[in-house]
Order: sequence, then structure tokens, then C-alpha cells
Amino acid sequence: MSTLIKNATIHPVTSKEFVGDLLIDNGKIVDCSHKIYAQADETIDATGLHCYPGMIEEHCHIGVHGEKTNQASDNDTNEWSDPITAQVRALDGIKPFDPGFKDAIGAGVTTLNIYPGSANPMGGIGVTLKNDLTVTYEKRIIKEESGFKMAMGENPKRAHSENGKKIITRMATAEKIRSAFRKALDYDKKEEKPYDMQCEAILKVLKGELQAHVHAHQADDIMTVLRIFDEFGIKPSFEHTTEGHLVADELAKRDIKCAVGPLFTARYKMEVNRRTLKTPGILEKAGVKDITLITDHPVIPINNLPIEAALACKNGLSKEEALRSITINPAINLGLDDRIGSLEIDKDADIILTDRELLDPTHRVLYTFVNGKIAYSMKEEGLII
Amino acid sequence: MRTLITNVVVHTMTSEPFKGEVLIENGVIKEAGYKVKNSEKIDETIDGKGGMLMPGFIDAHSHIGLNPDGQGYEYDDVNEYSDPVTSNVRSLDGFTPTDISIPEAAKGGVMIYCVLTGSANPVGGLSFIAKYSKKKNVKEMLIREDNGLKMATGENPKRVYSEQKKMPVTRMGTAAVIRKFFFDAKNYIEKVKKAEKEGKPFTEHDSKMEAAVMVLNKQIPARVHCHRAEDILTAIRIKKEFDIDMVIEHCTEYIKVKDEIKEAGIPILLGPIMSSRSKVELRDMTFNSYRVALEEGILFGCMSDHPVFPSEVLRLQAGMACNYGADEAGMLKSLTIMPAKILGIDDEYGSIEEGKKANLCLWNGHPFDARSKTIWNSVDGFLEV
Amino acid sequence: MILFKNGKCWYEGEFKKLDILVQDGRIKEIASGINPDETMEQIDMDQKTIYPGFIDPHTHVGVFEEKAGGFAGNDVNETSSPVTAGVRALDGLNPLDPGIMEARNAGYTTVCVLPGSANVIGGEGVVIKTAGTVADEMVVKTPKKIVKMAFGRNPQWHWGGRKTLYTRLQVAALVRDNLNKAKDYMNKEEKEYDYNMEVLSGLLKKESVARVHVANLEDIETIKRIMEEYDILYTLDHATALHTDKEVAESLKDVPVILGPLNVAGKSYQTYDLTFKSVQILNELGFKLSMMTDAPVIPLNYGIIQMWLIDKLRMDRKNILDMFTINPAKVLGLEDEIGSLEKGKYADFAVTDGDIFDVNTSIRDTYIAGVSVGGES
Repeated sequence: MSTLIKNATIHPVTSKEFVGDLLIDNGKIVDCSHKIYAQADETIDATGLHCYPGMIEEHCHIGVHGEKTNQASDNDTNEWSDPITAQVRALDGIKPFDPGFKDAIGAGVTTLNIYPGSANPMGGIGVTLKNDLTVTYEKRIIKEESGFKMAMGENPKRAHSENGKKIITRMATAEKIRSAFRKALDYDKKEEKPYDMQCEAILKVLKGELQAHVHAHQADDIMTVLRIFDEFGIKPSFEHTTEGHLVADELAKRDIKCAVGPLFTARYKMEVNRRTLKTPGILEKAGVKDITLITDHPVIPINNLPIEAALACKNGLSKEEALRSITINPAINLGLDDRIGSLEIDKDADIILTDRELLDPTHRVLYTFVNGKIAYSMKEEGLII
Repeated sequence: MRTLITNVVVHTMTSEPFKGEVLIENGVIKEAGYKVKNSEKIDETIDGKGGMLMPGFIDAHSHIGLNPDGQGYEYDDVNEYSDPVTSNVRSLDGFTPTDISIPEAAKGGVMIYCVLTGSANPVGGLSFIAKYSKKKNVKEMLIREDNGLKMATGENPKRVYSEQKKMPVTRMGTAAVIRKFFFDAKNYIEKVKKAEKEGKPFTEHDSKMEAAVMVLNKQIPARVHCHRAEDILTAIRIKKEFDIDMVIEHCTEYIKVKDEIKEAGIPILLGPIMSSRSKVELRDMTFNSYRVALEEGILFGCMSDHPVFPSEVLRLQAGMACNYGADEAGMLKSLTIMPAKILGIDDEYGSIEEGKKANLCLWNGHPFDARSKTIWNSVDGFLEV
Repeated sequence: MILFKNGKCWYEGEFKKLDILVQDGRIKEIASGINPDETMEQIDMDQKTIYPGFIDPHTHVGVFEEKAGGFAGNDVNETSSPVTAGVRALDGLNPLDPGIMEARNAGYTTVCVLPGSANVIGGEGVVIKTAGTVADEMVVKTPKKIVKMAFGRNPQWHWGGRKTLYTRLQVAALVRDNLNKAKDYMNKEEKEYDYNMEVLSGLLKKESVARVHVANLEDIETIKRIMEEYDILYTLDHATALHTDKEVAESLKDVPVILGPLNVAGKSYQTYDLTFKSVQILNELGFKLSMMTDAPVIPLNYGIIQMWLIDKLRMDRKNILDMFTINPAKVLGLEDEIGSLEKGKYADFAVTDGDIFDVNTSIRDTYIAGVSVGGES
């Protein structure tokens, strides 16, 4: 099955935009240039439309945090029974028919990285899904173990001081993490070791096979993470990074990946009091590479992802980086940039067509392609906001 | 002892129904046909008066005798709440043969049941198969011990253990508990092998692990309680990871994942559907599941979950399925030969064929009609009215 | 007097280059080519667009403070009893809540602050201007008092575990019981002053308006039933499911409807029917809708995002702007004071450097009663 998108303003993200054509065949982008003469099974006249790579949400809880239903029975976000639950996987808690997936596809988000929540210093393993609702759940998985979720700051304190008083302070959060790392290293050295799921998961992080993504808002939490990770000779990647602007130079110097957001919630927790829309721009200027923006859906709705980019852009982030922060940068952050995140030949045909520019919040997504197939069409299914 | 049943419509479950006779010798079906050939030395002749002769129904998922009707706490032995993993407990050890529901079930044609532990625990306990007996003792009733290991996913384990503040409090946690159980069992197998190799006596027997080893060796299936699609998919994922045999119990959202179930070749037990949607995970419960299961041609049984839905009226649930378009003959099979196959007792039970046990019910009308009743029942050829 | 010279004004449903003359905080004149004299301070608005200050008819700013870490700044629900008609949002209002500062910086000049929705009868709300350090000086007097009520699953959810109220049946019963008591109170010849009863009597005498939190359709119908029974003025706040039944919606045409917050992910049974499409559906049915942020649910500085998202429906932008200006002014009974650029109204402006629907437009200045109070830095 081949599809030709004709005469669109094509935004490859990794290079300058141009008016031209894009050819999809067998789920991949096979050509993308000013004029394509090849015939295709289907041709879409995209005159006046904008063509972007499908957006990538690097941090959300769609499916694990069940929506539009009873919260307690369908909420599988946090396995709060213990501060260290490295062995659990978001994959096993995701409701594949959750309405959030539809919201995402209607918003033009074609890849979703779903993490366990932030109640635990070591919360479990995330999963990356292609948001193709036409195929069965297992076939949507593109990275079964996409990242190791950790958390600092208020959330572990709150969750575990209520549940059995296992953590009362930030000091204990750090201690739990250190102890868990040490335990895994001891396990590794044992000559005879009965298989231990938890230690095996943590070992992957220590050996660099699985990237740790650490929920941290305050600058002091960020620095604590760097201190602990230095001790074990590994490198973290940050989620939320709310006070990243206060330690931007340190993050740049160490070449740390940062995911920033959600930017639009009320400052109801102390640790987000210093949140500002300027953070992404400040990080960029300090030299932090591959800045990623996240909605943390359902914390803010997933269709706010391009709006975050637009407002970050208005507040100092370059336009180029703003576009990258919701497409190729999250792909790099997840180690999937060889497959997704930009309109380049041989990449997966995850494409959206919009009537206005993506960074104009009033744009409509007319088509969402996932793996070369139309996964959402506004004409067929109606507008999804 | 030779008994001849005459003047009946024989529903064999393996061929088309016919009007004829059935000869029983010492509790085993000797012959079934329009006119039995070997009609000498008959000790007893029963005139069926044109009624329908069927195999006794098999309720492959029941808690009959574990929580006898009308009894209180002292008689409630369904769930061993003390730990999320209780593979060392056996439903047989809590079975109360004086449960008033047992003769009632027989009146409703249910002569065989698989009695499972409850669904509070990710790993419940071992089940057994019993048949009706007037003698009200376990020894008489027992068909097979330890025929499956009950497991559970979804709301129930979450609810129970979030109250106890133990893992699991999420679906992710439930999957992790089950995985850990099997990994521990693999470690256990290694330990046993090592002792063997070294010629030392093995002194660390663990009855929880012994049950797990039976599942890993495919001696018995895992009987996994799943309602929601995500729970079913998680169960299938675990089946593949550990290469075990599995039966999905309840399977409330079967239709949503019918392709995956077919592909995995897992038998399912559907029901109880004739009940209220008392939990969130039952929201999409529908009688259509039976029709679709028949259309898909998968191996399934219609089950009661007694006392959730009384075993005595299991036949009416199957009748309701016909109301939703399910094939009548197919639904009869879902009460007889198909559950027999799922339980692995189809060599002796589940159909009217030469050599099988004479587990029979004579009905004065169609069992799907509430006004019909059994006028003669037999288990292994002994008259049990 | 201040003369705002040559701004592109949102005036009578379209943009016009006009001059605005402000005296004593109100618009004295709005016309093109007003001749300046020496008594006038002139402000050049040539490159600017002037919108009437935005109005949010349903917020909790000041009583549910931001940056206070939860408990310390949270005075939104008086959860000592499910009926607290006598409490007043004004008495818990902190004018220094950063949420209020950001509201004025984002062009919101007037907001209604209500008690929360945990209680069946929550207390009295208050309308304030978004600038000031003394709450009493910020208050805008409304012709009718405002009484917050909540129906449906919010009070049920909140009180369910506290042995006071288990079902939505009891929510309705509490409303009826208390209104009956208020009737008796009104008819008593000798009475001890009871502030709760005074507030409820105000509803019965139509001196107050009930502002009713509601989400699901069945609860909307219950509200209609009770309010008609007692002949009470009321509004439907949130009204998340109203668009799902056109017949019910038609029957409620005379009731002001305040939608929102819509830019949230659907999380519970209450928000089951939440969709931006409700704006279009109800607008087409002829409702004069207002839009709320429920701040801090959506902080007011992000209220504008809802405007952009509604614009995806490609409705007439005049209708959209009305939802943030004149329609909420009407809900509050303040349509002669605020909500549009008109002679005699308060000089409350949101001054921008471009079209408000353009993401790159900034609020350059916010004026309340002709005084510059903020803007995006």
C-alpha cells in the first residue's frame, strides 16, 4: 500500500521546511522531495496543508491511569506497596482501550512512552507504544523496556509517609536508591544467584542497558540524583526538570537529557512553585541538547503538547528547537531516532497533516498516519479536541 | 449391572441428536443407538418417555462447597487472604460436601464441577474436580486432585492488598507477583537439580514452589481469573514468557481480544454473565461473548462461579446466550464436552459415547427452558435422583 | 482623564480604530477622533489592540492559593458540614495569591470567587477585580448575592466516608430540608438571627442566585426539578453533560450556563462527557455560554488556551470572545458595568500587541478602572 501526499508544506524537522510531496510505501517514507512523479495507490492533495512527523509523547500515563471510569479500580499508575518496585512494568497495567489513546491520535501524537507513576523512588519500567489503534495491543509495542522510572522530591515522601512510614524525608529517598543499587551490585557478584527480578531490572540500569528517567522538580533533587549517579558511574535523564533553569549549566556540562513539563498546571505542590515557561529556552541557551517537552497526560491533556512547544517558543526557546522538542528530541531521548521523529527517507511513516502550523494552537489535525496507515481522519471520525 | 434407557432423544454432544436407546454396564456407557444390539440380560429398563438424555453438565469454574450457601464466616473458605501467593493451599482441604447447593446443582443437571480457590490472590491455590454423590463425602466425589493452579488479575487482588498495603496494589504489581512466583520456581528447580547432582538429600522443600513447578512442567494449567482486556493480554504475555498451559477464567472482555485469544490457543471459561455488573471491570460484560466464541470456534465453557451465580441455573445462562444469537447445540457443548476437554476429563466425561462414564441426565424438556427438570440422573451409572 | 488614543478596539463585535476617554475609572466616551485637551493624559495605542478585560465567572483564586503547598493556602471547602450556607469566600480570600497576580497579567480583570464544591450548600461567593492588596477594596458589588451549591457526585464523593451523606438522594434531601427550614424561618414572627437561614432566605426571595456545580445529566435534571419547585434563580456551572441531550438542554435555555474547565483530561465519572464539542452544540442551540477555568484547576494565566482550543471548532470568533467577556458579565449581573468597551462601563482593558488568537500575541498591559495593573513581562 502506497500513499502520495502532494503539495504540502513539509516540515521534516531535521531540515528546513519546503513545499513538496511525500511518498509512503509499506509503512515507510520512501521519498520526500519537491516533486515526486511516482504513482501511488492513494493520493492526498495536501495543498495548503502542513505536513509534520507524528508527535512523540515521552512521558505520559495513558492507559495505566484509567480514564473516564472509577479511579481506584482502574488506576494502575503507582505500585506504592514498596518504595522499590523496579520489577513492575507499565506494559502490564495498560488498558489498551483507554479513551486517552484516541485523544492522542486525534491530537497527532503517534508514539507514546508510558511510565509508571512517581510515588516510588524506583517505580518500574516504561514502555513505548506506537499509537496505532487498528492493530492489537502487543503489535503496538516498539520498545518493551523503554526506560527505568525513578522519582525524587515530594511524591515519594508523601506516598510512603502515608503508607507504612518507609520514607519520611528526601534523605530516605536517596538512601533507598543507593541501597537498591548496592544490593543489585552485590547480587551481580554472587557466584550462585537465584534469579531476582528486581535486581535484574536495576542491574540493567547500572550496566547502561536501560536508561534511568528520574522524576525531579527542584534543583536540589536534580543535584542529589547527579550525586548518587556519579557514585555509581551512570548518567540519569530527567523528567519534569521544573527547576532545570537554575542548574542549566550543570546539566549542559554533563550532557544530560531533560524532559520538561507539564508546564500548565497550578503550582499546588511546593516543588513546582518556581516553574516557568522560560525553562526550555534557558536550557537551550545553556547548551542542553535534545530538550523534550511532556504533558504527563492526564496531568494536562495530551493535545496540549504542541501548545507547550508554542509557549516555550514564545518564552525563549528557538522555533526550531520547539518543533524538535515534540518530535525528534523525544525520539533521541528514547533511543528511537533511527525510526521515528522526523520526515526522512526510510523512517516510519508516522505523519500528521494540519491546516495551520503545528505551533499555532488553533490548528486542526486532519490526518494522522501511523506506520503509513491512516490512523485518524478528521473527515471520517470528526474533530477530536 | 446392566441398565437400558429407552425412548429418549439422545444428545451425544459429538454427533447429531437421535431418538433411541442407551445401554449402561457397570457405570460405563456400553452402547448408544436407535436400537441397542446387545439387549440381553438387562437388569433394569428405564422408559425415558420421549425425554432428552444428555451428559451431566460440567461447571468448570465453581466455588461450590467452599462457601456453603446460608452459612457464615466459619464456612467461608474461598480466599486465603493472608498472602498474595498461596499456591500451597488446596480447595479440596476446605471443601464442605454438605453444601445444600450440591444436590440443587444436580437437580439443575450440573453433575461435575471444578472447585477453585477465590480470586483475591495473584496466585491462589490448587483446584480439584468433583462429581455429585449422595454420600456427601469427599472421597466419593473426587474425580481429580490438584488439576489446576488458580491465579487472579485485575481489581480483586488490587483491592484486597491495597487494604493490606502489600504488593500488589496495581495491575503492574499483580503481573510482577506472578512473574516473581515463576522465577522463584525456576530457581527452586535449579536448587533441586543441584542437590541431585551433588547426591545430597534435598532439604528445602517448599510446597508453594512445588505447585509452581507443576505449572512450569505443564502438568497442570494456570487458571487465570481475568475480566478486562488488559488483564487477559497480561495473562497471555506471561503464558508466552514462561511457556505454560493456561485457561482464562471469566474472560469478560473476550470480544475485544478474541483474535489474541485465538492466536494464543488458550481455552476460556465464560461467565457468570447472568449477574449484575457489580464491579467496574464488569462494565462491558455481555451475553454476546458466547455467540462470538462459538462463531470463532474456540474451546470454551459456560461457567457459574457458584455462588456468584447459582450452579443450579447454569443452564439458564446458556439459554440466555441463545437469546443473544448463540447456537443452541453449541451452547450445550459449552456445558458438556468443551469444559470436559478444558479440564482434561473428556476421556471419561462430557459426551454420550461408548466407554465413557455414564454421567447422564434425563430431562423432561429442553434444559434451557426454566420449566424443564431432570427426571433421572446418574453419575458413573449409579442412580442418583 | 486619560485618553487611549487610536487603539484597535474590540467594539460591538468587530475591530475598530477608536479613541477611549476614561474618567474616574469609567469609559466617558469611545469614538474615533476624540480631540485631546490639556486635562487629558494621552496614551498612544496605535500599535495595540484593546479588548475588554476578560472575566471568569467561576474560580477559587485567593481561597485556593497557589505556591502555598496545599493545606496552608487551601480555604476552598469548609468541610465541617455539608451545609455551610453562612460562610463567605471573601473571608478566606488572600489578595496576594500569586494566582490573582497572574490572572491580571493575563488580561483577566474581573473574576468571581466561589467556595468549592465539596458541600451541598457551600457558602457565598464574591466578585473581585484582580488587583489590590485589600480584598474588600477589590470587591465588585453584584445586584444579586451569589450562593454556591453542588449537586451530584462531588458532595457524594467527598462526604461518602464521613457518615453524613452517602447518596445523591441525600444531596437533594439536604437542599430541600434546608430550603424548607428557611421558609419557616422567613415566616417566624419572632426569630433568632441565623446567618445560614438568612442566606437561604435570600435565595427564596430571589435576592440571591444559586450557582450550582453539576456535571452529569441526571443531576442537571434534579437541579431543575428542585429549583423550579422553590422558584429559585440559578445557574449551571460546569454542566459537563448538558450537550448530550438536546431536549433537556432546550428546556434549560433561560438558565445561564458556564462551561469548563474543558482543557483537562477526562478522569472520572463526573467528566465522562467532557468535550470541547459541547461549546459548539450548546452555542448552536442558542445558549449564551460563559467559559470558566475553575482556577486553580486551570490557572487563569492558561485560561487563554481554552480560547484557542475552542477556536479549533471554527466558530465565529465573536461568539468565542463573548464567552470570556460580555456573557460572564451577564451571569454576574454586571453587564452594565463590565464585559465590553462601552460608554459608562469600567475602563477594564486587556491591551495586546496583536490578535488574541495568535499564540505569539502578548498581553502588553492590563488596565483596571483605567489604571495599568500588569501584563506579560
